[in-house]
Amino acid sequence: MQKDRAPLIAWTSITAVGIMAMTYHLRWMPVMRGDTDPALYSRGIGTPLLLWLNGYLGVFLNFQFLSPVGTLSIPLLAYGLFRWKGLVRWQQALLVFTLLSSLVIGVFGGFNYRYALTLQPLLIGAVAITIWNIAKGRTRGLLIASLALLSLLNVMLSLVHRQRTWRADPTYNSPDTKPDGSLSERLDSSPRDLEGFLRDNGVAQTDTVLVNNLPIWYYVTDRPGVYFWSGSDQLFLADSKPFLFKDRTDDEVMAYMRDSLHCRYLFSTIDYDTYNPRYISFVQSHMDLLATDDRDHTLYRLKDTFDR
Amino acid sequence: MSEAVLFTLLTFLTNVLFGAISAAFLLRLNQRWAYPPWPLALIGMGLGPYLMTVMLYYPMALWEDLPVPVLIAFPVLFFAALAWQAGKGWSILVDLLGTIPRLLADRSMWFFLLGSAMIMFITIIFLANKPLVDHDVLEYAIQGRIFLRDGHIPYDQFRFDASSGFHYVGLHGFSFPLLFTWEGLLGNVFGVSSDLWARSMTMWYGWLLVAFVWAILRGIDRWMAVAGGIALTSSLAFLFMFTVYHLDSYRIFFFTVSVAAFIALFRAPSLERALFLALLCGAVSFIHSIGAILTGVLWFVVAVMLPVPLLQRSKWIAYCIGVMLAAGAVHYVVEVLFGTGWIFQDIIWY
Repeated sequence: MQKDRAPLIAWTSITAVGIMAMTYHLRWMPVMRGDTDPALYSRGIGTPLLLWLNGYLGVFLNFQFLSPVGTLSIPLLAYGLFRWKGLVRWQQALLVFTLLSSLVIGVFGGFNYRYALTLQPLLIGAVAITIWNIAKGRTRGLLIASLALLSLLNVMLSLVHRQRTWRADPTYNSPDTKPDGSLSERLDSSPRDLEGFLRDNGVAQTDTVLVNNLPIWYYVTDRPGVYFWSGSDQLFLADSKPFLFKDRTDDEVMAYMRDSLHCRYLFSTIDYDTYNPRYISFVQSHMDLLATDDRDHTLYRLKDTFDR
Repeated sequence: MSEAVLFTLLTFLTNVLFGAISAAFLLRLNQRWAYPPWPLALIGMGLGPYLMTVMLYYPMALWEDLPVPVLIAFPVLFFAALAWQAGKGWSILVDLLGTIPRLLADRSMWFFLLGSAMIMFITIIFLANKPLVDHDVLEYAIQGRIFLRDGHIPYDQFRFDASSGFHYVGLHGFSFPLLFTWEGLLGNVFGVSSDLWARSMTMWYGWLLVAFVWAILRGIDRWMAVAGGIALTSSLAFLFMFTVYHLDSYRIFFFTVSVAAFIALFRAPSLERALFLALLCGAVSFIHSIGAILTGVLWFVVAVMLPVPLLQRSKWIAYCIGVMLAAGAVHYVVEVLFGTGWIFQDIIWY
């Protein structure tokens, strides 16, 4: 790259990424789920475009969670490939490692921003050092400062998007969008007094409870539970991870819970009660809702055989 | 003893003392490596809690029913030996710390101080107001407490706790759950049940990560460190990394320092640098499976591209594999052979 053209290319790239980040937050990211699958929507990959932006290319383009400075590493990586022979050995090795790592994360877990975050310090460091090396004097200072500004602009747009989502869907649940309550109430979503909640609803200390993906059960009580996740219909037993509903009728599920798992109760949350249609219909037809606490935890009991 | 006193004791013992011992030991070895001292000292601070978990892992995996004082003695004796071996590293560390007042006179460092103060503020607010509530971290904490109760780390096809019905589905190394075990061990001694210190590790490693990137960028230019620091920390993911208790800051810190050591190895190849990289990669692996996979990719690149003769490279890599395994990656070998099968089991994706 000719040194005198490099700052112009850097300015163009920064501007392009800024525009792309704005379009992403204001146009491409939905604020309502609509007909989208709940799991895909919650992961931000509900459309084919978002599947690429937040999924396969999430390491670089997940503006919802990550800094757009990482996006600027795309032209850097492309330039490195284009000028492969001009790179010294450590630059070549780093380029290959970055590309392979991005591929691994993109294919196996790009939709999870936590995995995509892994490469952020590397990508941001590489972009900052490159910009330092391609510019001089006042231009260098302005370019470096613009990286910080670009990141700040993007995080503001992310927060605005969360507020827009909450306004469009008040059930959207996040500490930064909850309208009221003390800080402690906003940050703490755990059951306030799980023992009391269970006792008040007639669950004896020895009653086994089907626990729908809520590990807090095992952390704060010494009660027996059967670990279960309705989203994948999986039971997590001592020697296997079988399905609960698959290949069973509702009555068979009821008999299996009662006679094999020795379990009449279900502990869940309103959120988790929406993932699996089969689970929802079973809970509605074969269980009684005993109580819902003020943090949306639900407690159900199997209807007895006499349908009382 | 209150939770706060236990927290203070654990922070001093594990973060500060074990961290400083590791830093002094690395600074002593640095005569061979010739790394910049500040980033190396920060790596040492990060190695403190991690090496403690390795020193808990082996006795708990190899023996059953060791008494609590014996389990505590393993890391303590290990770090005592390391402190003894650090020798001249202590004076180098003291000299390094002596440069702090001069550093603070530099205006660019005020941004770092401001950021650190913000992280400290966030830490206090969250530790005081947010218990363990998030799904994954609760599972790690429960598994850590099961290790504490049983005094043993078994490997079975299904990691199931018969007394509670809890089935641990995590496949990762046990470094993070063992932080909870460590807090429980010390808590048992003083009769306090707490997770305050283990929760604080999220923020501790978040701060170490920012400090490390800052130190690297500052080596080039002080104002670039300011801009890079802002760019790095200004994202929702980073905000969540500090505020949602999890192992992400822990694993990303070690991943980032591993990449720095990888670059350093390629710039001046030596067996000593390769072994240090292997230790750091062992840490990345022992914390999370994604670290084990990515360090596998990293060593593939080393194996193919490191500019040293093939025979020498092969020897180095053999030694390094040994170090990585000893540093925690052995978990995955045992898990595949005698445990859940790791990622080779029949996982249902949803």
